Amino acid sequence: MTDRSDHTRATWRQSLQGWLWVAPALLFLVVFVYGPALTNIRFSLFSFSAMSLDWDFVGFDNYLRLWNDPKFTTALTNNAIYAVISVACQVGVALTLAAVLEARVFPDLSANLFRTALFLPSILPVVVVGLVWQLLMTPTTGLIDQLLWETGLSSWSKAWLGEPDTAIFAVIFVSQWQWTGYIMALFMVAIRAVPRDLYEAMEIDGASGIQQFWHITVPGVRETILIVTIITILGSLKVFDIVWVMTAGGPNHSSEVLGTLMYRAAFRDDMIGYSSTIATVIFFIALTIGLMQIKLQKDR
Amino acid sequence: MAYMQIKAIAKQYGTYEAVRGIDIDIAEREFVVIVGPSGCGKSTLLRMIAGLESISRGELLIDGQRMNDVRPADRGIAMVFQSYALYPHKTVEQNMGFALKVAKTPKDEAARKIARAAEILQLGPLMKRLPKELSGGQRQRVAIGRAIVRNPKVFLFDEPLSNLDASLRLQMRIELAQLHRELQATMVYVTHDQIEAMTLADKIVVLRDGLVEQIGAPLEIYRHPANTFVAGFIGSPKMNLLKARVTATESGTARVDAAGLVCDVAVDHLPAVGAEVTLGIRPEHLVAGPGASVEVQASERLGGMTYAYGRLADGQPVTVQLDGEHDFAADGGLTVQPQPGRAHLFSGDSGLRL
Repeated sequence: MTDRSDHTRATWRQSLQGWLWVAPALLFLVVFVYGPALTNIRFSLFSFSAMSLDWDFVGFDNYLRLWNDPKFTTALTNNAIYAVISVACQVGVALTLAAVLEARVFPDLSANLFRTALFLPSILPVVVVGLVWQLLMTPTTGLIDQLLWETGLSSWSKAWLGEPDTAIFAVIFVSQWQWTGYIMALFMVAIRAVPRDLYEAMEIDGASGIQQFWHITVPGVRETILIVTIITILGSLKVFDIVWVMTAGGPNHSSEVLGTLMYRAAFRDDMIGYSSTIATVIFFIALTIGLMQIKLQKDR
Repeated sequence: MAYMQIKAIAKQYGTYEAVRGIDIDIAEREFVVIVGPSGCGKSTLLRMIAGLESISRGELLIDGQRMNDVRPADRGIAMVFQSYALYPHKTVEQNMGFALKVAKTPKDEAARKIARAAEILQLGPLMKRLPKELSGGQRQRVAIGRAIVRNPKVFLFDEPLSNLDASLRLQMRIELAQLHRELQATMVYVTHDQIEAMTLADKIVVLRDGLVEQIGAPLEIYRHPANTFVAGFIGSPKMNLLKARVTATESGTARVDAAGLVCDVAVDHLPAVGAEVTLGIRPEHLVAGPGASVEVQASERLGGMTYAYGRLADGQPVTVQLDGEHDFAADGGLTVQPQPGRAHLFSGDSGLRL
């Protein structure tokens, strides 16, 4: 009996020690992550200004209002387009580029140059990238327009950021330009972890480069594909800075995304409750995607 | 089945030459084992045969056809890798059938070939499993099965047993020998393990520093090593190589003395009396009896035999293999004499057999 109680005491002490070790991190998470997230959900049920002390409880009115807001539909659609293009580009294109560079079809020097050139945009600040591309896309005086004129493609010339049809796509393009090289570098690391002799065995079996890609590279890096896909989707959902710098959601809210909508509601229109509602929607979409990721990873 | 000629093949990496001009003739159905220490160029040579490394100089011929610039898949070879290199996301059946699928072999023919290989290697119950669900030995068998279904002219093995534990290695060695008899295939096998070389090969090629040291049948190499390197490399425990002095010569025989170990050795090239030579004598060819005294420093009792590790009077290390059990803990002394006609003599300068 004594033995048993000693054992229980020791286990309890061990358990307490464990909790003490994780306590600082846990406290940090509660104060700075879970706390604000829950508070934000609470805020979404009120209507109030940042400067006012009067909080009106409105229940789900903010959600109803958001649901009926055409800007929300536009923003959600833009986020979805952003995600689809980003996944296609940053997973599809980046993986293909990584596979080609790792297959050593190019001489080492040109492969290194290509790799560096592709990676470089990702180390630039988003604001700088946004401003540079804004200049490049400026109608008439911008380099892109001038290039189109010089090459006889003047009919293609347009105000890329100034027209509702092209604004969001121009922003998405810049985002892909900036991040594809970074994701490519992640895939290159993953591909390097695939044993070399699997490719050699395939070569002896007579497989072509494309067959090697589908049968060895893709299954070999599928964990990275899954993670990159999730990160890209979540990133697309949270996107704010590049859109804000390049178009600020315009023209006429055509390039609005959830991030810009939320920012405008909070800091331009001073509708903290409504802004919290948008934040809550983003939170739950992100949570769903995160849970899907955990489920998919567990299934493997 | 095919014959293969390796003519003055070399491999250059920048200024470093990994393989420095190697000639080997491999007959049809021959099991050739290329053996040598790490870094001797044996795997590079095999990879050049496979087409996974380009050939810097020389020629590779299979059935008389130059293969230097032919792609690996078209050389008629199949390779078993040290790591097995099984496709991790494919089942055993898909692994074995992949090359046939790539070659667009009709499905029923492919199924027949896979079934035959599975039968030879007793893989039947494992066909739907993934490589991660197999033991080391089973993976090895699948890798061999993958090679068999391609019906290659030449099988290439790159240290295929080195990832297995000792007992499984022995079992797989026996199975490989059986497989060679059954398939009657030409096989080139690379290993650093001289026991694998001795037990499997029809012909052994001993490599060092990118050059061939000796080519011959296993027992021929064991009995007549061409130099001190081969003498020390082939045989376990390794041959004792002792500094000795020639004390007398007589037609075709030299009498040498290595710290009291006196030996008459038949030689092709008679050394001068007083010359410094290397006396090679295997541990199993030394027997207890009046002769040189050995101070035993350590011993290993294996039940049926005992290995005694000690030093001769002048401090040279020597290993002796004795029948039965001997306990040297109490009495560290032993006197040994060589079995007549079993010793080898090498030049003290060049290390070449005399």
